[in-house]
Amino acid sequence: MTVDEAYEPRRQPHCEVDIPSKMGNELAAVRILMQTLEPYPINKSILERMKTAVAEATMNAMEHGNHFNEADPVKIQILLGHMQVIVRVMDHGDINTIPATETPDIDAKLAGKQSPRGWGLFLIRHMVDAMYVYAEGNYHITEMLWNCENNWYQQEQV
Amino acid sequence: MNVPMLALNVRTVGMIGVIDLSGEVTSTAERPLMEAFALATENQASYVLLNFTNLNFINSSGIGLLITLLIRARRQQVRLMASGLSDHYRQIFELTRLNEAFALFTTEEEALAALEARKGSA
Repeated sequence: MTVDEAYEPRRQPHCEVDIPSKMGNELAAVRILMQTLEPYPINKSILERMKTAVAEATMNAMEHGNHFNEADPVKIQILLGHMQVIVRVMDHGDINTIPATETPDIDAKLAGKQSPRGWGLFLIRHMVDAMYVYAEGNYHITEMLWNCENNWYQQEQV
Repeated sequence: MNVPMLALNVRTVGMIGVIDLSGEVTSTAERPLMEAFALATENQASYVLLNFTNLNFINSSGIGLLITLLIRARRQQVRLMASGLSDHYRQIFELTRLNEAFALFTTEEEALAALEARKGSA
């Protein structure tokens, strides 16, 4: 089964939380994710990839989507599917909320030809099994998906 | 409020400056990290080892910060080394090719031994 065949976007969120758009709060998103997933036997390396990707996506949403307006929170939804974890990071930017950036190149950065920053989207793409960016209602949504080998969702249904 | 926390400790081992990083390396770490580097190199150290054994988290801004530090180190002809990275952050160093700019070692002892061997063969 491919990632796309297994994709279940309509499942109801297992957890939904609003996080004020304030610098540093991306770590709150990570903590909530880890608390939500704690009961499930998910491989540590997958959890580490989730932490990095969710932190980066939340930071992008707070900065580029909501312009660090604390009254405009980032919504995080965590969905547990059949051997999948899906995290949606939702802001109020438009579909092009994250500015197109050049592919980060460390040689160019060390030579001063690129800014030392600009690794966020690069990291997200390398940390997820699939990623979808779309608009729904008033939200701009970054949806990230990880495949987990443990069939814990079925175990929970028994 | 969630303020990313980073604690830095600077030590000298022989002619090597060692910076122990504990906690989270994010954009808020810029000033303390640059100050720690200045302290680690004030005795003209040619090598600075960043000890990541107690690193909890590093984000894209933290990676950018390490690149800024690399640029500064190169200007001062200081070679940067890193030890104690977890498998996850070692993977991130490989993805970003930071592993080509830092000399990576599993432990501080391994890094110091490599420098000793280098001195012995020079």
